[in-house]
Amino acid sequence: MNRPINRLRLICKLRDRARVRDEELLSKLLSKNWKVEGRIAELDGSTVKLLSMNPSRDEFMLTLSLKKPEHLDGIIKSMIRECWYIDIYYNFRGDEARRVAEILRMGVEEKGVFELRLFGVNLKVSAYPSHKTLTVSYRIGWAEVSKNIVLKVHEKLCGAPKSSILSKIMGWRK
Amino acid sequence: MSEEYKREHVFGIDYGTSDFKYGPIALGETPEVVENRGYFVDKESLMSKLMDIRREIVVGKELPLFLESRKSLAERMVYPMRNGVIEKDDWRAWRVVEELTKYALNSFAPRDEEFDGFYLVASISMVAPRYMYEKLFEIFKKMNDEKTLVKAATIIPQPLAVAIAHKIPTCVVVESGHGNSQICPISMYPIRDAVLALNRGGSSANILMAEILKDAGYGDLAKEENLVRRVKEEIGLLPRDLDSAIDYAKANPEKVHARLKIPGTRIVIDLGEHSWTRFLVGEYVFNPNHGIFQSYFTRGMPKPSDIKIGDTFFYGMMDMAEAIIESVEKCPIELQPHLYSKILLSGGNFSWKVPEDLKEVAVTSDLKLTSMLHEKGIEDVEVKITEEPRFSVWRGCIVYGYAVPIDYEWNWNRMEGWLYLA
Repeated sequence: MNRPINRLRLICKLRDRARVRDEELLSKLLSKNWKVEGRIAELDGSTVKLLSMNPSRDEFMLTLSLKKPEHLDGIIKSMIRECWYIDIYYNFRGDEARRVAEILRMGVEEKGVFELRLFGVNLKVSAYPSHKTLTVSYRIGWAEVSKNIVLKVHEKLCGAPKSSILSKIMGWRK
Repeated sequence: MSEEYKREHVFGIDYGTSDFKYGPIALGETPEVVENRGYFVDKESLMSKLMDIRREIVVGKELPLFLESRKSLAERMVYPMRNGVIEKDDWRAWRVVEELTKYALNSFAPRDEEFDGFYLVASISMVAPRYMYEKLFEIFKKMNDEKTLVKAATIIPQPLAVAIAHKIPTCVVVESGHGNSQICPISMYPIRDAVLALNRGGSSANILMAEILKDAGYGDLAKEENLVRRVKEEIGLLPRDLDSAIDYAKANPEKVHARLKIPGTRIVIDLGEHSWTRFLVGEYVFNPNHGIFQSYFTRGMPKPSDIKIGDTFFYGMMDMAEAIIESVEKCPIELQPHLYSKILLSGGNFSWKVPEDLKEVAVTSDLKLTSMLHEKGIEDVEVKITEEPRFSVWRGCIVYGYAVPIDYEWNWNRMEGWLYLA
């Protein structure tokens, strides 16, 4: 997987109201290897952008463009310490949507919202056949993060990098 | 109804002058796009009866399947937001808006029982009068006649949506779409008294592109608006300086040679010795006052005219830098340097390509405007093209919908908040 996965959004529910300015939030939540400039953070070609904070300042929305799946894992692991939960949203279009539908063993032709279980989490899958679009979302807390579920789900949906040990162990093919 | 429900069901619609961008928050960074137009089917025709076409209007992706002759195209095709404002009694335009809105919402409305309507954030022109807000809310309410599609709705001006998407509270947003361009200084809220509109947008460049095609021997193709637009997007260029660019083109004809094959057809457009005119297309949007355009006006190409729509005056020939300066100078002097230091360019009309080997003479919109403002004595300028300028209004709608709490109800004085419709 060399091209960036850029149809990914996170909504993070904080344990407490954020006491820092929006521009300081990413530096507070991300690990030190991310280069943060205000609302945007960058690491080896991956970017995280703070889109919005809700008015009660206990929830915020991020958009991600990822070069490496482990960056998602790293982001989630550092953020979950400050959050009750994180909702992860994927959006797939065209052939990608079809591919993901096949992986999830569901038809992309039928419009609707479907729920299925994968690696112990409940995935909500919304299919919009007229737009050849599929969105997949799920919620994680500390328990799921500690079981490395985020990376497993990500690699299942987006494909594992060729060199991934995990993919070799699990025997997944792209 | 909870905040959590809202954030799953925020739906953005950008009623652009040419394109209609729409979709729920789940789409991530890119909305769906169809042309902001509708085709009134001739229901009386024998073919319509034979084919059992019951619809009065067709909108969306399948619209081309219903097109008839070129003559009927002009009579039956309606572009409701051509200049951002719809006349109060233009029923055909309002019907198209209604149909497009229904098309957008229906295509994403989940079938599950929990669904109780979207939180719809619509964005319209900064110069849209109050009756357009009222009319749109009426249409949104009507969406719930058959099933609940809109739980609550709000409407924001397009430049504000751009500022929200970029989280910049003090800036000038220049939103240039198909029909016109709006220049809007923002200091927390849009400064309405300082808004300035130009009667020039992507369609003006299309008109010039059509003339160029005619001159190059493609008069028959020049009548097809969509094709002209496509050619403009593929081969039109924005010159750093028009005179130098023309000199360069004439000295290096092979480098600027424009040839375009239209996929799926046998059409090949080759501008040949007219290839230097590629530079005119971009220049015309930014400054139509260069002497070279006079020859086109003399031959009958309509000059962008000053017009008044509703209470707003749209300038035809004012250059873009001049328009920004005039708008900023209507704001408090203390604010002016801050406004010049953040100028955001949004809208498809700012997406000019710069081929690698023409970087010497062709530029992007931000560089062009920076140099035009420098020429007029404005020093500390920062002009930035928004990321994917076509979609920044829609993105702003999504961010706004996410951020506005569910209990913040619509207020006609402040023109903000949710109007509950179901």
